[in-house]
Amino acid sequence: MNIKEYIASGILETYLLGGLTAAEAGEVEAYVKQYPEIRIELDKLEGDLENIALSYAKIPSPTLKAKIASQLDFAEEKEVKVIPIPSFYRQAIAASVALAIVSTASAGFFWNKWQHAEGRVIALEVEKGTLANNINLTKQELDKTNNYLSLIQDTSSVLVTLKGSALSPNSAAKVLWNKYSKQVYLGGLASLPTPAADQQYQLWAIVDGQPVDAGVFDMENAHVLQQLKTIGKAQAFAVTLEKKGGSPTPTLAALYLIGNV
Amino acid sequence: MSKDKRGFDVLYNNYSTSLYGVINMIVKKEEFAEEVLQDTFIKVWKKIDDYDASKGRFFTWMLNIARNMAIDKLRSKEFKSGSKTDDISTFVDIGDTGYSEKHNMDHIGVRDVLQKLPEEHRFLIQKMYFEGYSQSEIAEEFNIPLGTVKTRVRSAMSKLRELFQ
Repeated sequence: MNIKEYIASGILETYLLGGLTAAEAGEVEAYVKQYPEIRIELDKLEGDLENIALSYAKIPSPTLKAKIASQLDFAEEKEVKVIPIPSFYRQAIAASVALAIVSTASAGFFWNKWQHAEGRVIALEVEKGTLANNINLTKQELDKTNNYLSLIQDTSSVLVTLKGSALSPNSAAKVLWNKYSKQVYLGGLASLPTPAADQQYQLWAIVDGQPVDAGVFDMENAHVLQQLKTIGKAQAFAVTLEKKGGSPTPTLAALYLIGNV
Repeated sequence: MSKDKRGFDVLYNNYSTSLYGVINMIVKKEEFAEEVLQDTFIKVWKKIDDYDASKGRFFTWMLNIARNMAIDKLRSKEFKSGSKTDDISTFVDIGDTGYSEKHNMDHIGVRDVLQKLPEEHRFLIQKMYFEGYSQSEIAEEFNIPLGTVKTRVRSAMSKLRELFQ
């Protein structure tokens, strides 16, 4: 058996992703037990899958935990069983009882210590989980920030300033557009009136005189850069107020912002 | 892990969000996802003594239970009647969304890591991991040689590892 070839074949990845039949999986499990190198490789891959799972982490509704707990049987403290003692060997029993008292006392002592240690382990495990989550969140934030930074530094990126129309002269926004990757980000929203519940602002790219839908956006995200639809070509960008979900063509009477590239 | 209330607390606090996230990717609807998460914890609790540390990590073991239950749910009658569309290819759909659908900020972060994979790799992970296809089913249905399925899965996972580092 060539372990390197076995690992390179991709069978471990397929096994972890659930792509093997029970029989094939059984074979992999046997090899994992037999060859430490395979075990180590599998463990690395398991770490990768954990990362993927963690990146999709989502919080279930807060009532679910109690709902699940109510359906489980939890272990309780063990009851002491009373066993009838035969009337002979009393002396031996007396001696045993004396010994038992001594060992019970020390057992009690160690039991307390153990309980204390277990409590610490649980507290540490919880703490570890929380820290891991925090690191993951920070990593996501850092990823976003790095993405913005590289986007801003990219020579294909242009920053377009949108100015308020007669409807709302004090409004303003910035469009960060990368001509090469076609990504469009909207930010720096200022003094744009809050839309009614059934309305949303929509960004348009003006391409050879024709408006092209670039996506709708919400005001709750006004403080961050929002990624909208990709746009390959544009001479100008404009924002109109439309019905929720956007319109196929812009309502020019509700033009709020416009700016040339 | 002891089978008392505290053990359950640790289990739930540490793993519920990751498991729930993956379940959600499979069944898509929160009502179904919560049902599956509940069934998963009940099963894990009952079978916890079956976990064999020599076979792999505890999380992998739990995640497999969750995945299998979610995929069973996906294929159940109840799901098919409660779900308006059979289209479950979320990954493939992202970036190619319908009319003026809002693009979420999350799409830039780690969350969208699978989106950064080449289409052929993403497709395999989607089918296998989130839809429960076996390698031979993929090979047959999509006309990809079995060996290619395995090597592609391997390069997909190694690309994912780079993305996470």
